[in-house]
Amino acid sequence: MFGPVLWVVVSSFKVPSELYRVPATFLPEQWVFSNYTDALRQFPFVRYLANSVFVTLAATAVTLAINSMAAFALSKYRFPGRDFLFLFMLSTLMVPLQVIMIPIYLVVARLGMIDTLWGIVIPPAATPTGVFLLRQYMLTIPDELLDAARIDGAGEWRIYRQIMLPLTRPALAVLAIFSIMWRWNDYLWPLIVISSDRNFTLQLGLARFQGQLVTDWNYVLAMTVLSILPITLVFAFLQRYLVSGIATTGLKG
Amino acid sequence: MASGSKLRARLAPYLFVAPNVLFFTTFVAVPAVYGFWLSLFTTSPYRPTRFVGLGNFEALAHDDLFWRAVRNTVTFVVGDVALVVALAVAIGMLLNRSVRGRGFFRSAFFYPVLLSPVVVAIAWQWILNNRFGALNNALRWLGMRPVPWLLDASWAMTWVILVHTWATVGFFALIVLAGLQSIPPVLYEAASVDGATPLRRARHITLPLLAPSVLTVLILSLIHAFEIFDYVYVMTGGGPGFATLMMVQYIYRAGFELDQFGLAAAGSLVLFVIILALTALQFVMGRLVEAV
Repeated sequence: MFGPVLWVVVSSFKVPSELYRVPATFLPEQWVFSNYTDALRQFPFVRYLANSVFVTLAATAVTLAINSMAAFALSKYRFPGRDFLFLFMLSTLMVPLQVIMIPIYLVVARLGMIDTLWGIVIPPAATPTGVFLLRQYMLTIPDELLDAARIDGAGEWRIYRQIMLPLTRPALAVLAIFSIMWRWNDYLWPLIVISSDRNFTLQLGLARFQGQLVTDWNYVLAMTVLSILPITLVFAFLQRYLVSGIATTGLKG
Repeated sequence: MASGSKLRARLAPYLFVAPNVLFFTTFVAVPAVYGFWLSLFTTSPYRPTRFVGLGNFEALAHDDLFWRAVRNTVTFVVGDVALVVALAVAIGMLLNRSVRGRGFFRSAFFYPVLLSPVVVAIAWQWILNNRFGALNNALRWLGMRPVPWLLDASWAMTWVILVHTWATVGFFALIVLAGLQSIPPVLYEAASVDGATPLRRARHITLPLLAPSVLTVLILSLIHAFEIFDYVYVMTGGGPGFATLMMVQYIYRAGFELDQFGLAAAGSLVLFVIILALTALQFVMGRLVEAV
């Protein structure tokens, strides 16, 4: 299962003449970094990288903020319309981007967010998965804690900030990892929203280099390796949380 | 003072859900309704927008490329789902055994799930590359003729299915694994005491108790497969010709390449109905499985 990625990594260290040799060598005869340094010099890779980092972090921050607020309301208050709102949010799971990409594009265009990084960040920021995951976790936190704080005179916002959020940290961490993964890897939505080169994310950049008539495989492979480094690190250190997140929600995104 | 804070406590939940509700309304509910509306008009850069009723659906019905996309998608879905469900169950059972290196295997199957569709497509394109690809290199080494994997219509479809299975099966195997681990070991012990053979234990304990997980895997993989776009779009671009053009790419092409938003919206609705039907099926079957 690791094979294809290992092959890409190994290939990315070969000089072009060796990369295109038939029959191919297995390991590089001589390990070089020139594919990486040349690619970084010739393409606005750093720009794409910065765009991807911005989009990923901003979207994750917005997602955590608004999903945790909604989950708090849905798990710790009884109020008219609560069940309706919960069902409304869950029902958005049934409307994937693929079936509303045309009208959502027109809505986002009306809001003036086409070809902007915020246009990638904002529309998918509220996730039903996040609301569901956080709500299930918050339900396990005893109401007595909140009542005690109320008796001590804490306001609702303070209860959310100083009691709820710290106690929900494990679930927030799981959602953060998921969100980082979704946004970093996202392709279809940025493809629809972004048109100018300076707003490209890594995924858009990679797909375009590869799609050119004559593909410079040495550059494409090197940049592919750089793009999977962060995800691989997340995987290496946080795999446990990802697996438990999937096991508890049964949701991928 | 006291009534003020009470009012605030009563208002608080609405304020807390407000941002999320606003987002969902603006970016899901409104577009969904707008999509219906849009499907009743022709929009084209060359002519004024015009109400056509069900004209777009009629146009779809007469568009060979749309049917091609439907056929391609169904072929993809059948192959992909059959492979994914079978392999997910097999891998889930393998990972449930207490074998040496189980952690490594779990990581190995799960890692591709984290990769972006673009990266997966690029990695496999490099392997399947006509001239320099590892696979054709291996074939030459074995003294066989190289095959233009992605330039041959049926091979391209086969590889699209295989690659998508490779990339997603680890996720579904985890669902099966979670299902297996929720079966209380006591059941197996009791059955062994009563002299049940391994086959009977599988038939009467594992099978019924694992059924809900397998059903989840089946329906989720069906939905995922119908939504296929990015892996294929980057790997083959829908080609060779239109051999791997899927429904989502048809919609994307109609909308963003040909500027026919109405037609694209109508195509989206067809896909929407399929996905909605599958979701409903999941709900109904879930009830049935629970009732058994």
